[in-house]
Amino acid sequence: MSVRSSRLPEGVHDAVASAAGSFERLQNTPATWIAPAALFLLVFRLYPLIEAVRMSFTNMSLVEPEYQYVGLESYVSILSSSTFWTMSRVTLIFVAASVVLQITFGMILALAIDYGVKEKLRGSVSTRVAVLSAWVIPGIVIGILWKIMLIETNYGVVNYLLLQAGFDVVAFLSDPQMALLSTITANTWRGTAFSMIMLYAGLQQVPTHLYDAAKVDGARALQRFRYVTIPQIKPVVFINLVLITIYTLNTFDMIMSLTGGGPGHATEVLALFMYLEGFNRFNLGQAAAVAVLMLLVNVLMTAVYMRIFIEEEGL
Amino acid sequence: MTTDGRKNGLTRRTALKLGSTAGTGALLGSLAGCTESLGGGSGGGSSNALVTENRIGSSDAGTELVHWLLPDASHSQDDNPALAKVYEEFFRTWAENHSDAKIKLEYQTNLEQMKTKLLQVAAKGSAPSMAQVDSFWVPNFTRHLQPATAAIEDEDDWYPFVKDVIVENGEWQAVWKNTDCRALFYRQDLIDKYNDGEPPRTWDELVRVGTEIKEREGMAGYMYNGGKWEATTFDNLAMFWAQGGDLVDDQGTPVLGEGKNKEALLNVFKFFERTIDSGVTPQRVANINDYGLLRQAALNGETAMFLGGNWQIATIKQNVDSEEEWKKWQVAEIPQMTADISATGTGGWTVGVFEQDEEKRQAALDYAGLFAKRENMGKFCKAGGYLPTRKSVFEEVSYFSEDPYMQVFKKLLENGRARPGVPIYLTISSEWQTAAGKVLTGQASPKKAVETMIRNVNAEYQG
Repeated sequence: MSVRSSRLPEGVHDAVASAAGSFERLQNTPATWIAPAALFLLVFRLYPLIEAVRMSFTNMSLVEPEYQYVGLESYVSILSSSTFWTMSRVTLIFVAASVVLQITFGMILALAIDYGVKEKLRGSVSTRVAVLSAWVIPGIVIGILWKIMLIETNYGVVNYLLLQAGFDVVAFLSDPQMALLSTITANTWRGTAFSMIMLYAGLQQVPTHLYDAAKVDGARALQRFRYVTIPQIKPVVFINLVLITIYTLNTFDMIMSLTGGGPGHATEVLALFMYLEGFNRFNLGQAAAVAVLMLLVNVLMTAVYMRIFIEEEGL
Repeated sequence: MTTDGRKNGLTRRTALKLGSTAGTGALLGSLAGCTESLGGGSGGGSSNALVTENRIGSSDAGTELVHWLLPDASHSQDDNPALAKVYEEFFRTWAENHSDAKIKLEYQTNLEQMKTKLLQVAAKGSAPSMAQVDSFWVPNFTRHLQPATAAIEDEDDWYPFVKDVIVENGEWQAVWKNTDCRALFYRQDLIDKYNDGEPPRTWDELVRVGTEIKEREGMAGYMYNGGKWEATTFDNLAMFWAQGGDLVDDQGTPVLGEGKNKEALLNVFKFFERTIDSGVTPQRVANINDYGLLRQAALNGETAMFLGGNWQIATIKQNVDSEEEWKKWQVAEIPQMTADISATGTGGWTVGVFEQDEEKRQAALDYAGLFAKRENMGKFCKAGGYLPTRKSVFEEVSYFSEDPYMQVFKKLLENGRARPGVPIYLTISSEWQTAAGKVLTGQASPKKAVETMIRNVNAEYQG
């Protein structure tokens, strides 16, 4: 940057030149460029995280302005409650099933669309748009949509079709097992689009000549998928797995409108329990403790995935 | 598209200038709009108007009170124009009687957040002059509410459940302006056919009549809220209360595990199980978490009876084609374990005064008192579709005295009971909902569900 200051008095000229020089030096420092992002992360990410950890060591309540530090009491109380372990089991089933189904269906759709694009088939764009629409709908709305679909009377969409096909009305939401299955189905419907987009992007990176070489070697479609596609898109699968595990573990909005966590605790996942503890029963301390435990599970899951993938990559 | 803007007759510089001018204009326009709304001139009223969207009274008045309320408890609501008109009339009356004072209306957008915020500001000593307070929350504000006894005329005219909650050490803490209650809704034509026209009074009778209807008419006999939401607790609590059960003692300590309370609780949950086992109630009630679903079931001919709220008779009326059809639906007392006991859950809204400055407190009390006057309460409850909290309104205001439904509700309110306004109630309610879900879906026996519920409530209370 240059400064036209030849007509300025010498002192002012020096000051301006020095300021310009400082600015240039500052501009060349990485910290200047990192600062906005770092500030954003500090204020909107790190501070709430630290605050949540701090709250988890208190008996803070939404209705009492006073609170005390109670050490690990909230954690002990949660971990010693049988309800917490029931909900952990429900969460484990919900997350595991949702992640497996989302990645499976996401892969099938991504492969189908990739094939469609390569073969210039009609409808691949509209398929992508249709699938993506499920992803952009808010969770609460998805819960309501599925609730309408699964109403347990002869005018519920799915039950009507079942009746027409000669079956009985199915208790999709009032039977504990079926309710969990319905919740997993709705969540899979919602999350498959994200997996599809991620995996489709991954598929675009696979060099065509690898497939050609595999074909020349006599590899069938399944073998090409196993020995060419999967190794090539492994990093994308890894990122996808991490992200959908985190998203699914943190899901509560859709479940809240679909089943409310019931019947009993049949569909009450930890994220919903945390919400109800904080904003229904007003126990902020305990809700924060659940949040911290969930954070630890998220970090642990990510570490496990990383270890498995990095080991397999031989890094 | 050409890269040279001049060829289109509009240079880039001109376009930028025009854009800047338009942007500046928009910004100035927005600022002007903000300034206007900050000045309280919204709602189309002039600054001299006595009632504007955000203010009651003259803008020049020296004394200012602050009122927290939900938009649907004001004249600015769109949903019910008749009610908005009544509010406006009350506000105008207050303004005309208080030329030296004005009320700043601060609308709260979320019910739960409003309660929490109010508790927090009250605890910090910075509560508004007055606020709309859920009747169920009044005991939480006992330390902060100013006496409202002066606004109450004819104390004996108010229902006992009102006094149980509102009167503390002989002083009325707020003006309970409207209430509601739970009742048995039944199809008169079916009850004529299967029970000689008389709605069931006891659980035994309900199950007997319900079974018969289910078998012969192919519809559910009886439905109720059984999903994960407050009404699953509140609606069915009437059956617990009627047996003499108490959730908490005078100190707010949960007493569910004590003799008669535990027995009453167990009886209610055994009744839930019986309704499902007998087939009178479909298991899908375990997922009913909206009164609208009960109404839907009723109007679709899926149930002969349901446990609903008094306001539902109006919504049934709105949703059917003919008078004959909605008049099929009648209301009665909630069936109980025995015929000689009765109860119903009551809710509703109060106006509470928090102001400590004597002059302002009197002005706030005058405002709250508007809702306590018999004539006003009749007008207000009629427009809003609410139930009055004074017996004489049911007797002297023709809208209530001539309506057979209202006369049933009048009788039900004699045994009305409000939920205890203590923090542990939130846990009790949540545990009740879970226990009900487990019993209705066969995940737990009534005994096991009740024991788990009591254990969890006590554990939460003891911290």
